[in-house]
Amino acid sequence: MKTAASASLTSQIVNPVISATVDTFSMMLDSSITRTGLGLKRPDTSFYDITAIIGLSGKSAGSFCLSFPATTAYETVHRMLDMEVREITPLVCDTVGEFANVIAGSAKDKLASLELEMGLPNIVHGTGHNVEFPSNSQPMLATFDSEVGPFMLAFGFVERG
Amino acid sequence: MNVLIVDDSEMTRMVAKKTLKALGIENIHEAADGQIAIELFKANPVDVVFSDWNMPNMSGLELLKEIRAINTTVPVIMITTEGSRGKVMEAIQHGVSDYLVKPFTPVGLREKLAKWVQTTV
Repeated sequence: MKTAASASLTSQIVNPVISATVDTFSMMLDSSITRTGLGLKRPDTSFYDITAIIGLSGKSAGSFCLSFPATTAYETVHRMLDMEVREITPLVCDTVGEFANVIAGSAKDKLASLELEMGLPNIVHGTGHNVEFPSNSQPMLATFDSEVGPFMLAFGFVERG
Repeated sequence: MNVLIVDDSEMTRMVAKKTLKALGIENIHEAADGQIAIELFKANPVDVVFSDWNMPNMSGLELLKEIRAINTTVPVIMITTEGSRGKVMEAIQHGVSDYLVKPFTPVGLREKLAKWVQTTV
């Protein structure tokens, strides 16, 4: 029953997260985005090259991940800062982390009833990495295309108490 | 005009600097955390502070309290994500002047400067 409740909670979070992502890409990059997929995250799903992970907790608890291929991250830095980068530097990781921060912050505002507190972004990079979610959560995965390239979001939440 | 930008995100500091320079502001100090910010604040004339809220080591609120212990009048503008807007009332009680929601636009930054600092930007 707890897994069903967590699935319901996670699905309740989908629209605010996607809406926050659309707004953030529009504001920060002047880019529209197109959703190319939405479904449950499989345990063996590989993330892209750079993933920012943010923990949120309140009346529910969970994680929000934003994952960029390196090329999407480079183009994002180029658009934001007019800089050419061709390797994963601290600035590139910071940029992905800041995007995750803004999207999660905006989604949190739309989910005020959950009274979530947000942590700082942690960054993982490397080819073919995965991020594990709590076993009793049913994390969702959404994939997108944008003017800076493809990217994905994964998020899973469980009820507390 | 002297501006102090405090944010643990290098990208956000760079975007803010780029925007401020486009407005003709050259004296820009930047700090990646609250401790560096306090040192810069003590060592330089500062007309306005833009500070992130959610930072490691020292939060924006702790930084605000430290600045107010030194200077009660300098405008301190909190940079927050939308989700942290609820914290603004707490920050106002501790003397924050205003807030700017991330992602901010050049127009938003210019409006806050015009509101709080005598400027022609």
